[in-house]
Amino acid sequence: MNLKQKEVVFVKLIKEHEGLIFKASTIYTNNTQDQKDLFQEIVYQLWKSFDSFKNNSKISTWMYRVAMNTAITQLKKRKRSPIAEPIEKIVLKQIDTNDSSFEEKLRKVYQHINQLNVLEKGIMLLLLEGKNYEEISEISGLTSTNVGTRINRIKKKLKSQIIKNK
Amino acid sequence: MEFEELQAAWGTMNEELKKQKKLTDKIIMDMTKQKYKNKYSTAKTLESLASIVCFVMGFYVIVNFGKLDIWYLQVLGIFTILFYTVFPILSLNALFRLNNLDLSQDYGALMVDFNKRKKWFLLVQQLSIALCFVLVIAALPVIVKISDGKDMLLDSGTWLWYMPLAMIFLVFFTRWGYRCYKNMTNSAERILTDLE
Repeated sequence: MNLKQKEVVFVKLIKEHEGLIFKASTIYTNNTQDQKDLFQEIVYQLWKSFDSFKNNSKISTWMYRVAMNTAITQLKKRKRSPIAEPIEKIVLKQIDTNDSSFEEKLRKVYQHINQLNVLEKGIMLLLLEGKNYEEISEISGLTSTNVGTRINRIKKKLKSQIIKNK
Repeated sequence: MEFEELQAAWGTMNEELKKQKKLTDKIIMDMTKQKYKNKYSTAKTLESLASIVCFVMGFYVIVNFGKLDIWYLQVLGIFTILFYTVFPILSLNALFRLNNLDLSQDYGALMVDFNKRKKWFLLVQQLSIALCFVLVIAALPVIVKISDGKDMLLDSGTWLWYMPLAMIFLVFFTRWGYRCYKNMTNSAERILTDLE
C-alpha cells in the first residue's frame, strides 16, 4: 500500500469511528481545548501505529486500545491544571441537541463518570459501549477476572453516588 | 438513575454522534500534519522577534552612518548593517522553507526535500554563529562611535575586559542555540519518519 492509498483507508477508518475517538477524548479531559488536543493526539497515534495493526483483533478493539493508552499517557504528561469546564458542555457543543431531558440525562452520566479514577473511566467507557468482559480484557490488558472485579466495584461506586444524589 | 439508564442515555448520545459527523478528509490528515508544523512555532516566534531587533539595529546604524568619520569605522559599519539586515532574512527564509514543506508528496521525495531544507537551515545557522563572533568585534566600536562619539578602537583598556566576556557569553549562547535548533529539526524528522 503506498502513502496515498494508506491515507484513503486511514481517513475512511477515522470517519467511521470518529464518535469513538470523541468519546474517549471527552471522558479523560475537562475542557474543550484539552479535548481537542487529545482528539488530535489520538488520531496521530492511530496513524503512527496503523502499520502495526495486523487484523488479529477487531479494528475497534485496536482503536480503543490506542485511544485509551494515548489518553492515559497524555494525562501523565500534563502537569498544568486548566480551568475545569463541565464535561457535558463539551459533549453538548458537539451534538447540538435541543432535548432538555436528554441533556439532563447526559449531564448525570458524565457527573458519574467524572467520579471514577483513570482506569475505571476506561472500563466504564467500554462497558457503556456494550463491550463484554473478554473484549474489555483484550483492550485494557487486564485479566477477565480482574475486569469482572473492577466492574463490580464501579457499579457499587455508581450505586452509592446515585443514592447520595437522590 | 440506574446503570441501565446510564447505558440508555449513552446509547442515545451514540445515535446523535453518528448523525453528526464533523470530520472531513482534510481535517483528519491536517491533524497528523499539524504536529509537524507545531515543532517550528516557537522557533518562528523567536526568530521573528530576533529579526525585528536586528532590523532596528541595522536601521539605527544606517541612519547614523554619517557619524562614522574614519574609514575603518565605515568598513565595520557596512559589515554591521549587512549582518543585521541580510542574516535575519536568510534565517527566516530557511525556517519558513522548512516549515512549509509539502507533506502531501510521496515519502521518498518528502525525505529528500526535508533533508535539503534542513541542511540549508543548519548551514545558515552555522554561518551566522561564525559571523556573530566577528560582529561582536565590529559592532561595538560602531555603536560607541555613534552614541558617544568616541573611537573605541584606540582605547585598549575596554577591549581587555570586553573581549573575554563577550566571547565566553557567545560560546555558551551559540552552542545552546544551535543545539536547540538541531533538536528541533531532529524531532521534526522523527515525526516525518512516523508518517511513513
